Amino acid sequence: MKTAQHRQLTLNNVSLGYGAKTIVKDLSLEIPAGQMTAIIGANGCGKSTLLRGISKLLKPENGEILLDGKSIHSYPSKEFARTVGLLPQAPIAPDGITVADLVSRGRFPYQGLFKRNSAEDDEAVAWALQATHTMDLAEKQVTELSGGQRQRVWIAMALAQETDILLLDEPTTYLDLAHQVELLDLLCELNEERGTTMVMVLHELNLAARAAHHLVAMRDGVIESAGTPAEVMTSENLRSIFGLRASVHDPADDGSIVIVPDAREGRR
Amino acid sequence: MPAFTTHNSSPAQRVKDLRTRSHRRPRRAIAVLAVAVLAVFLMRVLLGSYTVTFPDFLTILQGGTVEGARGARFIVMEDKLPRAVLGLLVGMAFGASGAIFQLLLRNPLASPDVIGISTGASLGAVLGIVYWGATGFSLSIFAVVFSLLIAVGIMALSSGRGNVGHRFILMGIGVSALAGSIINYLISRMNLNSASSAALWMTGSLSSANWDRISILLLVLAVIVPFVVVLHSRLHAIAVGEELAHSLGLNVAITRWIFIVLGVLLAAVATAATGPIAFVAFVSGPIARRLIGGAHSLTASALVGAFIVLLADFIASNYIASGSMPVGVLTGVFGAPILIWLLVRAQKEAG
Repeated sequence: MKTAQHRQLTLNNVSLGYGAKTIVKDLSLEIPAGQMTAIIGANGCGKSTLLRGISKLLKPENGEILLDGKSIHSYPSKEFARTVGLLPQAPIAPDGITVADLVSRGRFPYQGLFKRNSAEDDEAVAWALQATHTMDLAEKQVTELSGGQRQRVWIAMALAQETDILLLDEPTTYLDLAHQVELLDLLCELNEERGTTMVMVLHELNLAARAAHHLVAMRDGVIESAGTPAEVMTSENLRSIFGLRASVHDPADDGSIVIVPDAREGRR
Repeated sequence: MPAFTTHNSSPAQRVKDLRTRSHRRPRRAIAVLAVAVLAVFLMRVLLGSYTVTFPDFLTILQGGTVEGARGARFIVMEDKLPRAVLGLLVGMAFGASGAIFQLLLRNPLASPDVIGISTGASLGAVLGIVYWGATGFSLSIFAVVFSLLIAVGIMALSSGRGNVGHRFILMGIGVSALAGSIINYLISRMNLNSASSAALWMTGSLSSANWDRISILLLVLAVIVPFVVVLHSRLHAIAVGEELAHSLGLNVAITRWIFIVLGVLLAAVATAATGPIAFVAFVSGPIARRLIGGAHSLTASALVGAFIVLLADFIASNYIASGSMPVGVLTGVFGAPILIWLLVRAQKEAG
């Protein structure tokens, strides 16, 4: 296992959008290196757009995104791909591919036109399969897997890429609660063991509070609140950012908070 | 990280073994296909209405004449062999081109004969025949230029966010219909003689095979094929979706353009040489995928394409009662049901 370097990812007054429509507006953000950051916010608030900007899929209209002080757009594409990885919301499994072959695709940025699958690549793929507990599935076709297994395989592919920073766009969508928890725990484990900086877009607030060190709450393309889960998840914030009436509890009194939406009126 | 267990093999070795194992079936299938293509090639040359023995064939190839059958040399060298070689080359070009588009646009319907590339080549060729009396090399140029223009037009019409592949196919079908009606217009204005030769060309036929045509095709393929071979891993890399491919460090836009151009060129030069042989580009990819176990393979598709063209030409020119028939008629007759079958299956998978 190659441990991750701590890389500094900084956004200065970044605006992102499609054509005439600006979605992320004048946003500044420092991603804490080596930590888990979760971006939360209502649908359409610009969470995924922000992730697209950081992964170079979208060029900022204004402002700059810096990696260790240098604009991300000044890095050659393969070098950048060895530093920052993205797991999109809906990746596509190529037809007729096995798990081992799919995870090996993560080694693309390390391979040249002619040089393919070195011993180092095999080591990285083997580690990624073990870390995500998918070694036993390695021989299977990706289409045979369950949703939870498939998502772990995609994580394995992103791990095989051995990046210092990993961006995940709603990695738990379409999973049931047990598998959501399992997957986020896996990501936390990888963050602790390997030191990978993770930035993920999450919908499920309780799970975001449980998994992340750092929360970024967005509304209408700007950051409304950022900090530790306990700092960000207050009843007032939930109301102003999500329009959600809820109370925030700390049952174990250790900062691990739980959000409970208010009961329906007349149901008490 | 858990300590590597020492029994038998390391996890890295296991990964390596798995990769070798998962490549075993495709490799085997490709080897079998290559043998099958060789067999049907020899069948086309040696058997049929004029039979040549294998030793005689070798004698002829080495420049000798067969005692007691002086005409054999002419029939083999000027008819049967060029026909088989041309069939082999265009079959491979059509097969590879279809597989490129199907992989690139992630849709089994995305084949040059469905999305207007072949029709574009035909339009160019017919225009060339009618207005400039083009033949041989200049005819190829017309076909290539027009199919590239058509491809650029389809790209421009289908650009934008979202499912580009899907729009590309729909636009292609529309453009194909437009080009087809222009061809019909041109044919209706021609004199009967050139109309019938244009119509014959449009069915796709190996009957005009000669060594000149083969050398032009070989020359162009010698330029295109190395690009396909060197870059094909990038084509496969796009298959994980645009966003993920991009984040793996692949320049998706450039790779897509390169392969559209390569796929168009393959289909266009093949069409220029024989006319559009119906459905070969279309069915080769799916058949190849069936044979190798689901994955896409340009090599396997090229071999399937060659096999289909050679076999269809052998049957069409030897076993059709009314005498020789253009190979495109036969591939059309068998290709259409396969198209319907694919559509039905795609619908089942989606539902």
